[in-house]
Amino acid sequence: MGESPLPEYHPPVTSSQNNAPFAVLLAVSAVGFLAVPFLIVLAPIEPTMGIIQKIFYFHAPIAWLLLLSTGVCAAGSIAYLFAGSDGGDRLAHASAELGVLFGACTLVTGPMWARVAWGVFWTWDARLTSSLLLWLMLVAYLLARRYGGPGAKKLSAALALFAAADAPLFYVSVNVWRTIHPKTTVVPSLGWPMARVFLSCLLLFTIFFGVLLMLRLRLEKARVALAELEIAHEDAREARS
Amino acid sequence: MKKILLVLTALAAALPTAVLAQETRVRESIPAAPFLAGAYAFMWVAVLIYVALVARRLSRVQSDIDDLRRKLDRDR
Amino acid sequence: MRARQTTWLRSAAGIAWKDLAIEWHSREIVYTMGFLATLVVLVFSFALVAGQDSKLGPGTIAGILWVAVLFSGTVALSRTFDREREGEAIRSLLLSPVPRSAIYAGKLAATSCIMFFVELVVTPLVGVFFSAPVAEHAAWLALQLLLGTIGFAAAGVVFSAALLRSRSRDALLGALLFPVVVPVLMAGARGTTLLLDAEVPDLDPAVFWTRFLGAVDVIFVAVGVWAFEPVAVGE
Repeated sequence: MGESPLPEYHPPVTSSQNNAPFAVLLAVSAVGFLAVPFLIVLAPIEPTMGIIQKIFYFHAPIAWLLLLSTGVCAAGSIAYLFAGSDGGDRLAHASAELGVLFGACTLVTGPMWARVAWGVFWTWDARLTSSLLLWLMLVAYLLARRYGGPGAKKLSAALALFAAADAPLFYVSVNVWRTIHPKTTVVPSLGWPMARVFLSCLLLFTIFFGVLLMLRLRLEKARVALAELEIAHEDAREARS
Repeated sequence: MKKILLVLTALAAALPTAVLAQETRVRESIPAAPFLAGAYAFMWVAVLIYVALVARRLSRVQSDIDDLRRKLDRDR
Repeated sequence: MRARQTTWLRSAAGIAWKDLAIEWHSREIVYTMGFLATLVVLVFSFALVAGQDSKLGPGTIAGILWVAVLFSGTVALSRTFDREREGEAIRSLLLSPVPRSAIYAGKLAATSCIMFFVELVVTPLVGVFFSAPVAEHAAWLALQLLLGTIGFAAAGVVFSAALLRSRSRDALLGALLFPVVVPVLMAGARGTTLLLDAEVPDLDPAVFWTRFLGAVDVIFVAVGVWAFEPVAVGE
């Protein structure tokens, strides 16, 4: 009978340490989900644009989540590249996925707003174009990770660094580029009743982002634990034979 | 816990779509409403699909872990 | 301190010089790159020019030039580390005491030189094909092309090094690089448009975009030097 010790296995999904913050955020998200639609519907109607302006209450927060994902991805990539942190790499991967998800939502909701407000789906507006470019970079991150071969993780990490550096550059260059053409961005100067709704939505969506991130990271940690267990299984089998 | 998350997300998708549809009947027929509701619904459907995919992969990995754990305990 | 700086410069210059010397003898990259750039310009002219009399605006011409630079530049970049890859020379290079940043600078300089040389040939061609006044503000145009090339290569060298051992190197390099260098493309195309446009009164807007290119270069080279080290350490 082999006496090879099993590796210390801390199941990531059921350990009580991990559950408490996750449960709290989940509860807040749950309340938020139910509250957000009512907040949006009950918000005052903007006089010039009418009801379509209310897209702003979830379009702007998820555009913010796209930016946040890029930042978190870059931060994780820095930790991975310069401190060898595998956790940083997992964080970067997870937030890139979320960035692609929320970026896609931004790029669908934005044109829908534009269609009603200005008649066309796409206007090469500074914000929309920069969002598109940033989204493409996160898609490139996932592509590089998947198909980059042996150096895929480092390649995608380097890409994330450039994406973060590019984010302000995209916005500035498209903005200046567009001053030749008529500006179509209309950001309402928010009075407090609207600002209140907007800020609540922003906060709730950010919390939701955190929840999704934690969920996705759990998947990665579980995969790592599975790989370790498989190695232990192999070792045990070899020790016996 | 994942199931709760899924149910809540589904609720959050269905609720405002219904409420917004209600609001259009109250006000004049504004062509904006289908876009507003559609945008919101799209967002939640996309999120819902992603959460479902992650949750499914997570439960699969978790069951693999449990299987291996059982096998290792048995072989000891 | 002075000695270390000189050694760094000498290493970087040595690497750049070696690559350029090899290229001078074989001329492989320059020929293939130049050919591709010319073809891209021609393909665009066939695709865009409707008939005999239609003339393309300065914005379109500038765009064609910069797109040709981008596409052919990808060729130069994918070849940057090719010679090291064949024969495993990369390992001996990385094991030597040469600092990574010097390797990066050397590769950046060599790639930029090769690209710029091809641009010097293709730009007059563009002037001829489209009757564009490329000679009018030639110095500013050359500066814009040079700065754009450096920015493009600054990111490209990092990705080329990371894709060294990858099978999908050619497919991925362009796909990953193009979103990153959009600010370079935008600034370059806008700046060149303003130089080629006869109706623009003064050079101020063009100078702005040239300065913008310079700023982008500083950012990209900084990120590139920083990112090159962990990426090039290898697997």
